[in-house]
Amino acid sequence: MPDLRNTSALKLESIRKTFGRVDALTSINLEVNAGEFLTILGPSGSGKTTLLRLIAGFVTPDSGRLAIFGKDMTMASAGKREIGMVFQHYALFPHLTVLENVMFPLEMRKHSRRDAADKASAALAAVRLDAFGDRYPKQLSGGQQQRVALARAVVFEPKLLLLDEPFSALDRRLRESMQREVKQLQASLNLTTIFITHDQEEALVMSDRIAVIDRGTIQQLGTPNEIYYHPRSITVAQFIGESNILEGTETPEGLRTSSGMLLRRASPSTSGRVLVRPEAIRITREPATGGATNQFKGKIASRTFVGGFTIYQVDVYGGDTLTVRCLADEGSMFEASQEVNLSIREADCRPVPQDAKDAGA
Amino acid sequence: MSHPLSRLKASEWLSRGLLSAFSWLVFLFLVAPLLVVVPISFSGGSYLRFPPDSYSVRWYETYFTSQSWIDATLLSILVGVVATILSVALGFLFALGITRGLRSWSGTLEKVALAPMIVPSIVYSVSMYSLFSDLGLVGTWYGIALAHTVLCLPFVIIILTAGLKEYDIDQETAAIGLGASRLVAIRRITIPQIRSSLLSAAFLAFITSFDELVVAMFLSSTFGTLPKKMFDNIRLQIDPTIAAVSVLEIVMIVIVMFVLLRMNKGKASRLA
Ligand SMILES: Nc1ncnc2c1ncn2[C@@H]1O[C@H](COP(=O)(O)OP(=O)(O)OP(=O)(O)O)[C@@H](O)[C@H]1O
Ligand SMILES: [Mg+2]
Repeated sequence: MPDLRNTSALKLESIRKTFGRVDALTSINLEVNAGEFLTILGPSGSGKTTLLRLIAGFVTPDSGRLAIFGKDMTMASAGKREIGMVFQHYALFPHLTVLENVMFPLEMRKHSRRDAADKASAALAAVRLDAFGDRYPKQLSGGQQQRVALARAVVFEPKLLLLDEPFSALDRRLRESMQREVKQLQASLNLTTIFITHDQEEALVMSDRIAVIDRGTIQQLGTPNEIYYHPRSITVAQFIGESNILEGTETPEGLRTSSGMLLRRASPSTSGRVLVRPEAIRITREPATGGATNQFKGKIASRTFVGGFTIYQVDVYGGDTLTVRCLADEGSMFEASQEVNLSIREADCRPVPQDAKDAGA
Repeated sequence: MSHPLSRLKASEWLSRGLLSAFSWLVFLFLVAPLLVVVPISFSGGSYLRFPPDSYSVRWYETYFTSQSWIDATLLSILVGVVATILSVALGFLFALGITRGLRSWSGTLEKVALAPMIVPSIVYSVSMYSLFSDLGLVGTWYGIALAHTVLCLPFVIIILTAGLKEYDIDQETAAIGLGASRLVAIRRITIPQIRSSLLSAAFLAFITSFDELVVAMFLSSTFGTLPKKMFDNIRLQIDPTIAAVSVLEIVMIVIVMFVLLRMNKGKASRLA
């Protein structure tokens, strides 16, 4: 195994895992750099937890190899891997106090009680829970329990930190503050972190890179920007953010949809599909002026006010229905069945490759 | 206007009254034997008669001064403790197995494990007798303890599988991820959390063995466990000693239950 030796924090090579007849993971290849915050994003049942448990050593792969900081760990037991993990439901020990919970990994590493207590207190202080050491987990709120689980996972200075949908049970406000907190902790410890979520917004906010996983395969790996603006498949495009996907036939001028719209693009492509993000469509009363744009006329089908934004569904005359998102402006909102002009810059009509699976079908 | 409402209230009141009356009736039915046994044990005469003509503590004296009664009691305690330890240890392993790796077989295995409860005790005793006589275990206290272990296992298994099914196994996984071995994780994390199940299982196992007569009759020789001694006692001469012994047994069990309850309460309040 020559190329397992490198400086990446984690390297997975053609990892496969089946449970009976379910292919939970099919040929996963993934490399995570030291100090990186990588998010695994995918719908429910896509294999996220299985992948994380496999990295942690609770699940053995059917085939493939796994290396942590250049060392082959495919068959190493969980305890030997020095990985801190936060479980989906925290998995705190209810019969131990908060401090004892955080001391547990240190005790297992034969630290003296005193040293363990000191380190655990410091870890609790880092998540602002130093005053709660004597309590039992059940006496804490969900967010506080989450932070205890985090402190317990980092107190022994693990090589990797794994987080399995840690915020899914928290309300929105708490989730946002926990996101910031985890990011800060991760950055201050320079800890390589693998984070699981099915919340695309959370993935975009937190990650250095995102791996989009679906049906046990990594569909795309890239920075949040790349994933958002250059999705490599329909699955990815639809999973991240809102999207208008227009299909049709390629003509020399651009893509002609089956409904008859012509979309010119900045660069030619043969994919037969175009992705237009809702916020890339300008909506105006009068036809917009300016070159290099696609112009359409249409009628407002519906309007949804979502705080900072307004989302319109617009029926393009002789064309598809497009979702348009624009900054809310109380003075100039459009009403249902009002006639509007849409303009889309050529550069914002992004080609989307065919899904490998769709092409085969 | 308030008429339908008050009628509703009245019927609710009535049904609640009936329900509590019924509960008391059942309770009375359950404790009636105790209410009879206690007075008889303090009888002054030498017959089992209720209510007694006179009162004394002579039957308690008989019990405490008779070497054979004390021997039988100690033997029963020894057999009970050994059967409890064995059945809880084996039952715990079995329950771990069927709540984990063996999931697809667990339903079947769980039912098979209840067999000793279903087989008539006389059939079980006869077969144990023939098996143990080949093995030279008849007439030994550990023979009885082994046979009792099998009888205790179903109770232990029912209680422990129920307890383990509620336990979040991710906690054990987490402990292992944090550097514990499987054994340490079970000891430090799993066992403390199913402690109340373990205590109830042990309690039930002990009672099952302590109270068991048929197997003990077949497998003991000259000596006998407490139930056998009581049985022999009423065959030879009926006197209120067995009532005194029964009362002592009841007191012991109440004390043990009380202690168990307290132990669980301490834990429950911490986890609340
Ligand atoms: N122990 C197991 N035995 C059998 N099948 C399993 C087991 N664990 C997972 N699976 C199956 O593998 C697939 C992937 O499961 P996994 O838990 O990894 O999904 P997930 O992406 O974490 O989903 P969620 O977002 O709902 O947590 C699912 O089809 C699941 O049913
Ligand atoms: Mg999951």
